Amino acid sequence: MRIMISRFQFYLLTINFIIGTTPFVMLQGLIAIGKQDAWIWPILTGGAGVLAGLFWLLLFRHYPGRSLVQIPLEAMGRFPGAIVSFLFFVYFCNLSGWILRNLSDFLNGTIMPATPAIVFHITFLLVVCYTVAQGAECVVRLNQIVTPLLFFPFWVVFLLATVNWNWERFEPVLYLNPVVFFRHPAFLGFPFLETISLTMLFPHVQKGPARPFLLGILTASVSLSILVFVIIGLLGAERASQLTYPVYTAIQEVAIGEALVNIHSVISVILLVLIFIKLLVLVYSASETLQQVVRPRTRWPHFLSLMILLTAIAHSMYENPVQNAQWSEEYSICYNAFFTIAIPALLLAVTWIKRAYQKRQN
Amino acid sequence: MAHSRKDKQHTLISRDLVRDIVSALGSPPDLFCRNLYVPDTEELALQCVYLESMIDKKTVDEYILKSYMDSSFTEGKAPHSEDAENFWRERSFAEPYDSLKEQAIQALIEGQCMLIDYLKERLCFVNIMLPKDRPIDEPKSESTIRGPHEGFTENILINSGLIRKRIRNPNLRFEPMVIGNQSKTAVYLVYMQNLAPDVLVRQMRSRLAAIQTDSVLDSAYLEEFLQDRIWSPFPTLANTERPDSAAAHLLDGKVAVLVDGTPGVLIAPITFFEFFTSPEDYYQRADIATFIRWLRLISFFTAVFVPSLYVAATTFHQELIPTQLLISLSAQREGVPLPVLVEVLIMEIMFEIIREAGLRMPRAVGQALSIVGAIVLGQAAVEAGLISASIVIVVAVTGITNFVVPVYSFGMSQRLLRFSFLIIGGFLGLFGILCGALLLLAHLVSLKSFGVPYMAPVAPAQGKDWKDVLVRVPRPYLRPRGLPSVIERLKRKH
Amino acid sequence: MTLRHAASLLILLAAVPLLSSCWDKTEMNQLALVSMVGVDSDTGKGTIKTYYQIINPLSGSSTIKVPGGEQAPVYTYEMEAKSFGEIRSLIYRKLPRKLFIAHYKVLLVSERTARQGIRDYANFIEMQPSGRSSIPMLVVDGPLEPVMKTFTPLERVPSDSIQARLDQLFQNSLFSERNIKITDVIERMQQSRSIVLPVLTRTDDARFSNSGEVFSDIDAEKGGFIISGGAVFQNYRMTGRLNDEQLIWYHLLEGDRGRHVRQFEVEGKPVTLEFHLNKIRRKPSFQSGRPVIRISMDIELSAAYATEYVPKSRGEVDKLEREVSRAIEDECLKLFELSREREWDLLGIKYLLHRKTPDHPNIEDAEKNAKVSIRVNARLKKLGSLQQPYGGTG
Repeated sequence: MRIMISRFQFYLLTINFIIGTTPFVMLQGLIAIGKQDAWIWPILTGGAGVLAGLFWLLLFRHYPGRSLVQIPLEAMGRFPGAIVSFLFFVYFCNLSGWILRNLSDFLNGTIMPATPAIVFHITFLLVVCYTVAQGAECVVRLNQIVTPLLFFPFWVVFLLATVNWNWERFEPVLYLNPVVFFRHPAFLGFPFLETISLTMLFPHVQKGPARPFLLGILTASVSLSILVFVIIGLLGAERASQLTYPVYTAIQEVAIGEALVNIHSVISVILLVLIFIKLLVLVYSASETLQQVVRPRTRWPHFLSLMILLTAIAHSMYENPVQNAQWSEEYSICYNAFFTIAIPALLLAVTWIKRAYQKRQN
Repeated sequence: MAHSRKDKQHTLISRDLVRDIVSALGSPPDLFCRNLYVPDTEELALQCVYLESMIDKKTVDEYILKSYMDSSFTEGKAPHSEDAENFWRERSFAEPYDSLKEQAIQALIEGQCMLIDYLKERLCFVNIMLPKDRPIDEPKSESTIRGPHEGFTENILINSGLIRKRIRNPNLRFEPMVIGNQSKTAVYLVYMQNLAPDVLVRQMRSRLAAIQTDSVLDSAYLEEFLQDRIWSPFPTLANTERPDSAAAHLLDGKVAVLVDGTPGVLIAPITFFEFFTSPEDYYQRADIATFIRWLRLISFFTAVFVPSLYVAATTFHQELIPTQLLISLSAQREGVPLPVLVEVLIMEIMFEIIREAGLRMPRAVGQALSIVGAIVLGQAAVEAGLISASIVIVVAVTGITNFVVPVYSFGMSQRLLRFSFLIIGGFLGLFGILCGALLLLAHLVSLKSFGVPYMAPVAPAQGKDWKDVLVRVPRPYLRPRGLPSVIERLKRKH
Repeated sequence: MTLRHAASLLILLAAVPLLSSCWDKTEMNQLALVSMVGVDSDTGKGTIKTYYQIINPLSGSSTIKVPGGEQAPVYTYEMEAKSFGEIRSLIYRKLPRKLFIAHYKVLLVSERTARQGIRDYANFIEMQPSGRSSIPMLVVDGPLEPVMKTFTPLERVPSDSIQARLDQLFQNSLFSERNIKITDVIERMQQSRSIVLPVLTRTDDARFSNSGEVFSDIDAEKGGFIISGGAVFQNYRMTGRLNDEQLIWYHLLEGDRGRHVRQFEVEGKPVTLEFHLNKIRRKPSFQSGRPVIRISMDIELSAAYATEYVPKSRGEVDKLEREVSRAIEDECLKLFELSREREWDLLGIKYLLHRKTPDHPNIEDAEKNAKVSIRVNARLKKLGSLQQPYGGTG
């Protein structure tokens, strides 16, 4: 049965995927560099993300109706293509493991310190694998239902927090030279280059994925920009640049009347849904890669082994957050660019060469 | 020669038929055989055999036998109906004995009266079945304040009549089937020819035809075969005992299954949000109906999540609780031996036990039970220090909100879900509840009811139908001529 | 391995995460609900002393009655250690329950600790994921221990009493403002500004550590403490004090909107007026290289409490307004002079220059040379129920 994803569903999925783990991971570093003008940066990277998206769409135009891992199989033949697809599989698995590790770090660092991380990994993975096993339609429909439940509490809480708002925290406005951002390219790559995993869903989007995809990237960058803006307005650049989880701290200071003074657990749990959706898309991409390259008859052994693999990756991803921060700062752009720019460029080059060769033959 | 064979048949029938029938049916106590003799002779003129529990005895006495005794039959003025297979069937003595015996037994079981007419040498079967039915009454589990108070009964013909009188449209189709190898129950598949999608009717027909079972005593038996997924706590077919509800569904392009012997009618396809509607919504004003619908949705969430949220908040995330409340809850827990999760589990199970006992309690003892339940389990347990007072409130609130959902089978699903969430919330806190909720949502979203996504029209989003989901838009604004878009979509799929 | 073995193994494996996930579980009555925290330092030994005031849940009126008389609403535990983090392990030598600081309401700091610096403590609070830093911080005049071990009348829990008082002060006077939380302290210190925190002073040398005595005595003065005056903090250290009068003008210049009632002198006659700030504007400009800060304030007056004198005509109203404006301007300038003299920068001039003219080469020096001109525009808007106070000869 053909899977059909509507354009609006794909648009929502793109937005939620990009916002994903960004509130947990990127904000502190960004504000440390940009200070009170850091809110401009996500819009700029959004532009770069759109360029990357256009680049991928160019590749996909040569292979209509195919997903990302089917392109190498077609372009380069069965065996070399399988190796390239396997590279993508490794990329998706690494990203998933990373996200799981971010999740358990966040939960261990804030609301549930004593629980071993592997419990979070396994429980989350069980739910993710169940959802992915039901198919892509289940993934996008789940996202569609969950988006309003996510959207309203999150922004309502920030509205409640505006008691602490202070416009002075933004002054002097637009003082910073944007060039300073380009010295930290790590923020260029994350999170927009990871959207290549959404291209696995391209063949199922009705009436073409280009418009919802690009619109989604733009909307997500604007949302992230607004989020950074709100964090600066609530906490101020000085504090936000030192705190590990500025969003969590901003919510900790929200009080509804005199009675409910500590609603941060509820809101952090709601934010986990964003992580869930990002993980959904990545695990879907990973399992679809296996499905399309290997074409198994029964799928549950794949899911079980994928769960074990991802748990192991999450556990061994990095030893401590300091190492993670340093690695991200120095190498993440190369890592992301290899999989999301270099390999598609290679595929595109191969495709053009093949076309030129065929045209010459005719 | 022929004459002698006829005579032999005659003697065979007169001697053996009734005896064979009695032995084949195992000498039932309700089998009666009335003999009428030719006046002033010993010759048998008519034997009237029937099962008294199935037929209308008045008709036998006053119409059949009287007419016979008035000799209207013997004078060849017997009622002769052309169409007759249902009311009056005739079989000549010339047919083979065994076939006559088989037909006789089957006819008697179906509630027909057998007349062995020796003078005209024929066997007549008269359909005078009058099954003992209860009168048309309002269904107890689906009563409304305003609106029709009729409910289906156990007779499939009466049920069909109740539907027919509401939809006086020649497009209303009834397809009869017999399901159940031993019970041979009559089942009707009902749909509107011009409204229901073909693919839906075909699918229902094929699923019904594929059922292999011995007995069908209730529509629930069929439901277990027809449902899309067995291992799911959510029903994918609706069950209703109200003819107006069934008619409304039929007019929406859905199919219904009537089962003889039970007032429950199955409706397919059904979506999650339709379980929160009741016919009462359409008999009250739109704004009140909207408010009550929201109340039902909130009750669903309360019934499923409140105990687990309470346990998660009090054991993992105490900072959520306002300070004053936390102090008094702490004080209540001093001296209570069990952890909160165990307390809540015990109270919930006690509540379920009380509920089950209450279903079967005779009315006289019911009073004592409510006293025992309320006072002993509630008050005394708290005062003895076995549980804390807030738990009684939590369990009571949960129990009451459980019944707000109009459909009873959905209430059952809520109970199952509540316990699962309780366990997972008690072990993993809010994170566990989140994972459970996502799992539940993933399950709901992947469920399909006869090709219709279970969570439509929320996901996949179909804007036109939102008018009937969370709000009940006044009738003039609802689709005046058209079907729900899920049905439209099914129609487009061929 | 048969399917049955695999299934049972899977169930066992599934049980393991469930079991280990309860390591975060705590029953409610295993928690020690902290309501107030006090920080003191002992310079002699180089250690710090922390006081935790724990709420006793059994002392409320809605609970099961415990035989043996009235229970204390709070208990104070003290702990000494070399750094704040160490206390977390040391405290359980005395405290039988798990420390739960998510609901604490007030943080008290002794004056000597404030003078040494509170940077360590601010960092400690921000580092804890469970510790909220949006809590008011007060400085205690004198030793901390008597304040931590005293009961207050009317409010059973002392931190409730302090917090309620701060709220009332904020609305009904200019003696306190909202921005006295630890978050504000950190933000301002990081911006190199100054902040003024309220000071708690004891009214009585007697100490009431028996709750029964306090709650059954009519004299609310005994053993209590009063919020009076302000402690000036710069760079996480207390560098001075303001008295109540100076505190009023400091808060006014900060932009606080509380309604304050004060007796002014108009033409030699005393008048009690209520005033509050409507709008304040601060504009920096440069005159021959010297920054001039123009502060203009719109103030609303109310004569609802003016039992001495109510203006009868427009002329009198104008005169009243002019006199009051001038009085306020004078007081604010006096505060500015004091702030310049002690180098406190209470008006936040450096921060203002940094925001508005960030490209200035030397903001420090500019701030030292800054001139401030204050313009107050007071308007009488409301009167009381009496048109004129009752006169008479007596």
